[in-house]
Amino acid sequence: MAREALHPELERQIAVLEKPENQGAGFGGIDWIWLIALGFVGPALLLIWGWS
Amino acid sequence: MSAPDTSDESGWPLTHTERDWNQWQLFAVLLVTAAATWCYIIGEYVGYYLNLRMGIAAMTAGSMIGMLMVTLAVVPTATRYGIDSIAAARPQFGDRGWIITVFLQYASIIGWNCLLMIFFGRSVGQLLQAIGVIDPASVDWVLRIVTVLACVLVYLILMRGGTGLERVSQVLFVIIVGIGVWMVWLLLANQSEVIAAAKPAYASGSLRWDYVTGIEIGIVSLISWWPYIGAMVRKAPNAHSATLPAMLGMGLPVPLLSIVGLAAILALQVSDPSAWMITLGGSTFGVIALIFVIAANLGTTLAGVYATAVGLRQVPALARSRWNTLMLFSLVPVAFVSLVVPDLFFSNFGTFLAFIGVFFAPICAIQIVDYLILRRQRISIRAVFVGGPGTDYHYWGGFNPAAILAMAAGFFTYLYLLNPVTYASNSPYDFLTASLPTAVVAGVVYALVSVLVVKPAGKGGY
Repeated sequence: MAREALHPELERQIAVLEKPENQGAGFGGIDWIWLIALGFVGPALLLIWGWS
Repeated sequence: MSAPDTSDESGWPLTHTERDWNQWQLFAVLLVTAAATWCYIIGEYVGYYLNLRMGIAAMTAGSMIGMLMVTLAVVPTATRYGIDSIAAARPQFGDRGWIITVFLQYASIIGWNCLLMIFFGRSVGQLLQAIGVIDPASVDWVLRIVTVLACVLVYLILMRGGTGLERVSQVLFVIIVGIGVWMVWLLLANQSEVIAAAKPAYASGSLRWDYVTGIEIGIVSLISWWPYIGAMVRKAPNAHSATLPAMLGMGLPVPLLSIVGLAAILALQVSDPSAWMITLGGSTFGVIALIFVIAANLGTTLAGVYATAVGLRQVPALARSRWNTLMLFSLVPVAFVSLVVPDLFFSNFGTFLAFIGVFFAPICAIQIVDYLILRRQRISIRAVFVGGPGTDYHYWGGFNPAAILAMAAGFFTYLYLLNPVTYASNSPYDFLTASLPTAVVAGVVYALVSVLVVKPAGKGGY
């Protein structure tokens, strides 16, 4: 990765992304619910069903 | 100081105006990436140990757990800053240590692509032999020629970069979903009694060990998405837009399609649909299966080569290379392996899967602990792209000891729990799998070293 002067376009993109308003938002509450449902609860129920 | 070809072909971050894929577009791309004939091989391996019901449960549960790990590790960083998996790992591994992740990405995607291309070549050869176009002695040559032609096709499509990938995915999505559902129905409708009565060929004698092994195969299969997913979800504007596409578009298709391989190996002792479809319905069905194999493997190989090329862009020596050159770095090894040692990856698939678990389970844990807990979901995007002494992610000589020690701890934990070559295991593998304890150990070691050594030394930009 560049240790010398950055390419002007890369410098511009970094400058844009350093502002929080230009960054993508993280997981919201509904996302965490989906993640828990699909990654924890669902697999647990499946494993119980498969073993029974 | 020339710029890389376009924004989505560079390893540079994508700004919010360039991250324009909606949920549906991302869902289609991720599904097409996930839905490949490796699903049949995954299902086949699970079918060695488990019957249909337990196989479906273990494989699906393991897959969704693995997908959760990858999603938590990569999606938040990739979608906040528009960066791929490799760039997202730089804050944890250091501005030189990240080369570890480049190597692992390169090795794993080359491995998967070899598997897919050879599978595709074999399917064409088997079909042509079955319908009398070629004799058995020519199958090996057909495999090699078809594989090279497929590599050329991938090269030509990806000359359009991420745009080519997204457009092809929209078409492949319909073919893959449609034929995939039909094949599952065909197999279950015609062979349900045989499947129900079938016994796994290599059951260990311990049902719990077999069940846990099914889960482990599911987990490691899906954490192998780590190298792929970043290059694609970075096109989404935020984590919300990528959550369901990742979990349902990339996580669920693998176990669902693997049911085909699982059921086929139990009923017909062969997982390749272009072989068993001929048995069930003659050459017409064989041609349809081959279309599916082409569509599925083409989409996945496209995504793999694209992700590898984006990842290779991070290597200083390749930072200014043309996009076409990077694609050659991704495709030439696949063509070489397919020409010279096509059986290598098929005969060592289980070891390849375990290799993925050995390395990618710790990486996922390290990223989850670092980004979600220690850094509270913020990194320095400048330090990701500007390295050297005095910068946040230079640590000591460019390497973060927390990440190195965590990888080592994870590596030895996995080796203790499950031997990747012999599949000999030690307790508590038969309760906990190998990947999950490996991830926990790596995450704990990373957190401890970071809190006790790295942060007090003022390193890492915490």
